[in-house]
Amino acid sequence: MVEFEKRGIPTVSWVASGFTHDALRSAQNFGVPSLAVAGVPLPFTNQMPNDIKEMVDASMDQVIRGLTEPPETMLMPGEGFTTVSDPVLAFEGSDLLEAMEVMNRRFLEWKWSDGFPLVPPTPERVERMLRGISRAPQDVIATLEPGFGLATVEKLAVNAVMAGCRPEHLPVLVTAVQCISEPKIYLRNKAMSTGPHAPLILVNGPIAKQLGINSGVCALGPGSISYANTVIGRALRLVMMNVGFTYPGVSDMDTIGSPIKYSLCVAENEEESPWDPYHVERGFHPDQSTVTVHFVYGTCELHDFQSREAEDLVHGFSSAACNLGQVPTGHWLLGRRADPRYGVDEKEEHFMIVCPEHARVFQRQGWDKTRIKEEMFKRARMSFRDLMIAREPKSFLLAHPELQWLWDSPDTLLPVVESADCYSIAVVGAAAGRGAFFWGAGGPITKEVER
Amino acid sequence: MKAGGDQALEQTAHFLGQRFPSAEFRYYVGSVGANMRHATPEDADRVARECDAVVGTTGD
Repeated sequence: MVEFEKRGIPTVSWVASGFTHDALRSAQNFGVPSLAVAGVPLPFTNQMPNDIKEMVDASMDQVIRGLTEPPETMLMPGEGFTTVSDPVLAFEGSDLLEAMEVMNRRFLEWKWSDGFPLVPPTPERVERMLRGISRAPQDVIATLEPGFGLATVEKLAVNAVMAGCRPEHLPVLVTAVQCISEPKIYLRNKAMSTGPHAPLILVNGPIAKQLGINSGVCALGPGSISYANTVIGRALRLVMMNVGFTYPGVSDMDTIGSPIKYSLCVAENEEESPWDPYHVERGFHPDQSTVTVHFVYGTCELHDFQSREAEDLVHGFSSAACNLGQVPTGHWLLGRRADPRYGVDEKEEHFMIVCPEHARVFQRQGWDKTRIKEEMFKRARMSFRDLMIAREPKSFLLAHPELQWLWDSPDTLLPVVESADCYSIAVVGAAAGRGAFFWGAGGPITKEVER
Repeated sequence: MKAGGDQALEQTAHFLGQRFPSAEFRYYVGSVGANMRHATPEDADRVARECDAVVGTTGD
């Protein structure tokens, strides 16, 4: 609608009441200070046709007013969260601990917190954090959507301090921010969705060991052994919020949320992988250190203590990709996620964490990652009827007019993803046969870490 | 387009058509994307050329 307004065409947007603030904020961010909105109490999704009709009829006066009068609906700058212009803030208490508590309470009120206590980003701590990278504090790493915040090295350092990072973690965070700002990631789509998109960070190369990023036991879980994983992943979320303005309930309209949005960072267990590391597969040298970011929706376990045959293992794995409750399952039938501003689109790709035990089963029988992906693609199939249960027929028609014959053959089995390369594989974990399958939102971006 | 959005727009056109009988209505869907269809700059130019006003919805 913003693009039509910019072309001088009056618009009215149907918006559910819970999304009004988000719509106005988005319009403001995208260059239109006010927006004519016709409000309805609920989203149109999942509603009966008659209920939609009633909601529309009850609010038609707003449509007519919106098309004939200047829009009145406007947000004040900063509404929904707080911005400050003071370069340094002071918080007082009877001692430093109480001052820290006051700061944390204030940051919670201002929406700057992820809910856990934050480390105070004092000038001294930020200065120390900045020593972790050779870039200048005011270097702009990226412009982060949806708020178009300038991600300077200094702002990233501030959020890194708040997350509990050490200076040596900063280059990984900077690279992760470079990854999420790539047009192909289409950050606006993932940051503002009703879905639980979480940036999964995979670290490869020598830096993973140097920083102690856990790749073994409980690598994606809590604990002292995953300290680096936890704080780096947390810092990226704080950056998305405080630099990109991805504030929950303001621009991040995630219906339920997910614990993986707090922090999701891991290193590949390259030593126990029988295959080339993930980053080498993507064209990097083994001695290069890289960060990969892949937005994911959620995860399920790949548990199998029994199988000694690669065929059996992959058969179980393929069932994880056949979950109709996940957005990417059969998403290709509707087309590809696309950002029209940059002319980019992306397939829906899944991220598979294979544990060393399972990797060895595959390797014993000569299966490389390409073979596993091909077998996943071959086996993870569902009927057209099932894949279309939660899909819009009109979108299917637009994306694939050549496949409309499927309506007459609804039991036809189709792959749940577009191609075999929609499965990414990294080896992570310790002993025992348990991996993880992450349903992906779009594809990954990998970049070399600059120090 | 998310489910239900198209029905909301059809009802909008129906209502406006009764109130403004000479009005013409055209339906557009962005030419890229999946269930979320997005208008390309060319799509937006076309709509701006062909229409005097736009009513839209994502569905939520």
